[in-house]
Amino acid sequence: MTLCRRLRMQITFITYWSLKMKSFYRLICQLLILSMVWLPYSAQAGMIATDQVLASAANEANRDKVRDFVSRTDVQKQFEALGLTAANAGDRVNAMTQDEINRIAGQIDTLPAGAGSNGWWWAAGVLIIAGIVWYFWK
Amino acid sequence: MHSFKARLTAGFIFLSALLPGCAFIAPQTYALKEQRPAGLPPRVELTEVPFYPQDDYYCGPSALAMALNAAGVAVTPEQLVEQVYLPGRKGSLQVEMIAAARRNGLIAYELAPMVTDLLRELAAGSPAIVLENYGPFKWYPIWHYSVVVGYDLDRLEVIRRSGKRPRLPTPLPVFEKIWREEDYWAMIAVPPDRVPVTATETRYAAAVVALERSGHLKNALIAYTAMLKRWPGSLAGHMGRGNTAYALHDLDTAETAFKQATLDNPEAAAAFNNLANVLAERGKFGDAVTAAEKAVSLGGPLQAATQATLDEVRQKAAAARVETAPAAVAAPAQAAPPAPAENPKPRKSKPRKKAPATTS
Repeated sequence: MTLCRRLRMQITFITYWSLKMKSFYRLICQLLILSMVWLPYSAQAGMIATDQVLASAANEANRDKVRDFVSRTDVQKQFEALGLTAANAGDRVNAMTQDEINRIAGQIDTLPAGAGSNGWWWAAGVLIIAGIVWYFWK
Repeated sequence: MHSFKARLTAGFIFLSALLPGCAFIAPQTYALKEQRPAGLPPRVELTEVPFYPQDDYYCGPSALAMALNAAGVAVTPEQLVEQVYLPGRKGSLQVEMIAAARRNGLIAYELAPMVTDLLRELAAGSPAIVLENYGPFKWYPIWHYSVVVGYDLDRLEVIRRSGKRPRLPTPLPVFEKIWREEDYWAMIAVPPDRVPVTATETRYAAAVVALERSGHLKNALIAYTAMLKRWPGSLAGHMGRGNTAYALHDLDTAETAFKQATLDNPEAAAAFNNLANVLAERGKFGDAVTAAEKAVSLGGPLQAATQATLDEVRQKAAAARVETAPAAVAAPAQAAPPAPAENPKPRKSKPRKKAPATTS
């Protein structure tokens, strides 16, 4: 009896709680939709920047502001994780265009990073391949 | 003796297997050998490009230093380390090489992935930074930057400054093999008054816009002017010239540029919009309102901004009328006479961004 009751209470609580969370998420969603609808209309008077007249102007207008922001902070954080000071990382992110930031966000670990050229490795590689070929032709 | 002979045979077979494969390993070199592109001198070497030997892993900074110095910016690899080197990766990213060239006031231009374009830029006097893969296997890349400073079509080789070697002639097929791994990536850094010979309007404009946004306004203005010489009537060129001049408080140049932009591109709402702003700031309210109205009538994705500009310009015009002729307030507002140009409002300069001293 008590167990059943407790279970029921728990279920009621979970339902109540999840409903509450649902309404919370719904509120967030509504806010987001509202801001997305609203933002394009909040234009300012003044000069129109040069990049807005480039061929990618249409993309620029539909630009995903949230993604831009996320990739910017992501790149800066990765830079710091890779041994740069916070100030230096900030400077370097600021030196990039948004397109460049989006290009590298999330893959700084795997992108080519030009480094050393002790020709030894190259020579070794060629020797290995030549060796394999020679072994099979012998 | 027997083993030596066997090895010789093996080597011969290995090489002869490679030769027909040339078209696969180095297709562009093969095409170049078949037909030499017109207008290319047979050999070029930019001996004036300085050489900075690289320390461990620092090929990014040293390659960049060579290119920047060749373009007239005095900078050492040590100064560039903190602009491009990533300690955690023990190397430098391509994007940062470009950004750093821009930070030093130059136009950073990525070349099209073609051997001929690289050669044409060399013939025009620009050394190119290239990204190569020295790794023996695809899954074990060893990325490396070097600077190509010349070529010789008869001997079919390029001349590079790489690592600790100031002059390293490399056979073109070998070079193409290690260069094509990262889609033939090459960049040049040019002074703002020189448009790269292989540049296209859109990509060059993007490079100059990036320079403008990085705050090198004076250099960007020079570059836009050079761009208009190469592509007269370019909308991006006119707009950029006007915007940089405006940011530098040179309203005279800005007005000329935007006016020319509206003449060359009568469909460009942005040009009319900015012309209206500059005219209003110079006290020419009548013309400003006309330009703003034209901008709004053109519609397009910028309509919200142009409408806001029109409202603002009309307000300014009305305010100016009140100031200059308090007695005329009673007159109907519609009969707007062109604002008197002989009594301009004190110039209200909006410093959007301070122009830092440009290098070079």
